[in-house]
Amino acid sequence: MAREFRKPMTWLHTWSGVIVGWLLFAIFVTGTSSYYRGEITLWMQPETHKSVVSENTFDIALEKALKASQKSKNVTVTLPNSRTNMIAVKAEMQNKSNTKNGNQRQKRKRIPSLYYDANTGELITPRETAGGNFLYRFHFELYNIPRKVAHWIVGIATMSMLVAIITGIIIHTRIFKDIFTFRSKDNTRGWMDAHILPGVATLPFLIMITYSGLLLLNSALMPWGAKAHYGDDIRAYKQEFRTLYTNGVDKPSIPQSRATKTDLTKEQLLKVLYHKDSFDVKNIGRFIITQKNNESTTVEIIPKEAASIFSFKGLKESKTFDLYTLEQINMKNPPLSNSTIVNVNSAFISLHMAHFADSTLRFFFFIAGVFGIILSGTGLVLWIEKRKKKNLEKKSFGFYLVEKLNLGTMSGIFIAIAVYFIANRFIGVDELMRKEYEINAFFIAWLFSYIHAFFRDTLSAWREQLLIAVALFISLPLINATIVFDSLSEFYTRDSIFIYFDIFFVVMAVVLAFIASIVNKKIKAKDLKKC
Amino acid sequence: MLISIYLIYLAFVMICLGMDKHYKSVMTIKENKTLKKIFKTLGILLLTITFFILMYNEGISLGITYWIGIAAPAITLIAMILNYKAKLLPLISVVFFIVLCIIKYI
Amino acid sequence: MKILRFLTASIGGYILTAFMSVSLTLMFTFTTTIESIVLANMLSYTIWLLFILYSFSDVDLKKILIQLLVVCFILYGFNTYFLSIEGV
Repeated sequence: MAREFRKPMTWLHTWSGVIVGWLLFAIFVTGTSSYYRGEITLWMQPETHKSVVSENTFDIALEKALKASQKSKNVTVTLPNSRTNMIAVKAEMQNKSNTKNGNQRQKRKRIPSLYYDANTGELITPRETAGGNFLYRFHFELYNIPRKVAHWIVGIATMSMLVAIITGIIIHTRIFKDIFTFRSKDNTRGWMDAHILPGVATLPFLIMITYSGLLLLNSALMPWGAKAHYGDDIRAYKQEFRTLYTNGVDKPSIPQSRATKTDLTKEQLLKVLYHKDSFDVKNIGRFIITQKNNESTTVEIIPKEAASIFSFKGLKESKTFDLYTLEQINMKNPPLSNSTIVNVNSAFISLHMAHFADSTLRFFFFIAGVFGIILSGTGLVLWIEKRKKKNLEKKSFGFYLVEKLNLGTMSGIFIAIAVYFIANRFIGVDELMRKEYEINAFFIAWLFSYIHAFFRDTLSAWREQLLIAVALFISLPLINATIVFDSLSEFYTRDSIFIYFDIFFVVMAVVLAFIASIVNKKIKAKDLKKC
Repeated sequence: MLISIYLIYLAFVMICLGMDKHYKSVMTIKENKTLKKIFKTLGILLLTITFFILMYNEGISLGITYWIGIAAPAITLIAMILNYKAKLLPLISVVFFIVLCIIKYI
Repeated sequence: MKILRFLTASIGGYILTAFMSVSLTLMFTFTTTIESIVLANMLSYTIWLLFILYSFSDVDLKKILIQLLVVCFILYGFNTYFLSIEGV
């Protein structure tokens, strides 16, 4: 029975893998790069590169906070951390607009942050760029496709991935015995091991990322439960969800003694930030000063390091203090919900997006994502390798198509990313349509890769495209140095984020060169066979 | 954290040495069933210990995340070494330990 | 014909899962409807996956289609009845 089950499972694994394989490869690449979305945006804005953390940073942040608090009742100051090298200040301005009844309504707009140099306190005006957000959006919304349609396409690809993973586990019978097996000498077995090894090594990550991806696309794929109970009233559903999501938060306590409201001073603010019950000063990531009209002023302090995976973008752990009485009046420790089900849901979603991760943990997620890229890439190549002999006897259009699309997608997307970064450096700062030009450069480069794939003999085309990619990636640190640096010393005095980028470009070039050398060996072997 | 990384790597090395074909490709000492059993048990024990160390140091959820995150490249690294230079596995493990010590003290 | 099985598994599975997710929200007895909706959503993908694996097992395709139709019909009736009771 088991052996008979393996055959249809193998068929299912192959077809669910190959039909959406190229889309999945692109999703994996853009998803993995999205783990460093903020850093990519920073890199693409050279104005931000000069900011370096120093001893002045904390003082500068306090000064900016106090200055902004004079004009705004709600000021958020984010200090530099492992993922950003600037001080960000967000000051909510209340826009009062009169309605017919004469009531004053507050307009909820997206409030932009102001960025300051962490060493000099200068205001930084970064250029407009598509940045990491383009790759992030591409990951689940593709580009220029109506949102619902794109969600459905990505959703179907994700479901196929889930089927492929589970059928992969079912057909791989010796999963624990062969866990360390990698036979690079044998061709077909070698590719199979190259496909299985990253799969088994990151199996928990892959299952989690696929399932959580499906959960994130819930509103498009499975809205039926919510629709059945709430009809078309999505807002009521979301409102109730939010209530359930935070039902474990204690209401803030009112301070016992109401101190008279004096001016917000630096000394008072320092007293709160250095409070014995607060986080260690080096661990302060963000503080929010809220001045309420009749009540006291509160300072909410958020740490840099997350204590659990439930730390979301808008819902991090924090401690709130009253500015004048120096009492701790509130504490938030995610998960904030009492409901286990909502917490399980949050856990999945949080692990997918990894908002809680600092730069180091993010690197582990990045590595796992790279394994996913290798998994999908080797899967597509394996499909070709297994059918090569059969194709020699009887040419098949399907084989031809898969071969060419493999090349276009895999080396194409890397060439496209390199061109995207290069275009960012060369497009003028004052260009109005900078974002669109960067994105167009990305897609044009990718399209050329496909066209080149269809016009050339496959193996030679692989070698040529890989060498082009190597050239592009190795030129990136050089282009960056020429255009961005004012002096050579900036090479090592800049923030480590940008040094890691240069390291990444060099590593990419080396890896692609290594793959190109493997392809070169194959071409030489093929030429020898012909002779 | 660095200790946990090394211990997880070491645990997987032990588990792999507990397997027949990998033992043969790495070790020059004659095959011994009890030795392999010891390696395997030690490996699994080390994995469990590092699991709890990480959970204790980082909290339950982050601990599990780190554990799974470290296990993946560890398995791949060992598979690569076994394929290309199997005999060098013990030497590479020692070098890895020294490198991590250097990183810790920089 | 593997393709027919594929279509049954994917499209038929989706329809079954859609009905099932609504039925599950009605069957669960948590304090809030939201919890049952969230849990039903989380389980729905597993149900879809299991149905896909089931439709590729030894079972005859016609048998699967009949089973699918019957179950969907029952679930549809179940859903309509209980949703009308809830007053939505």
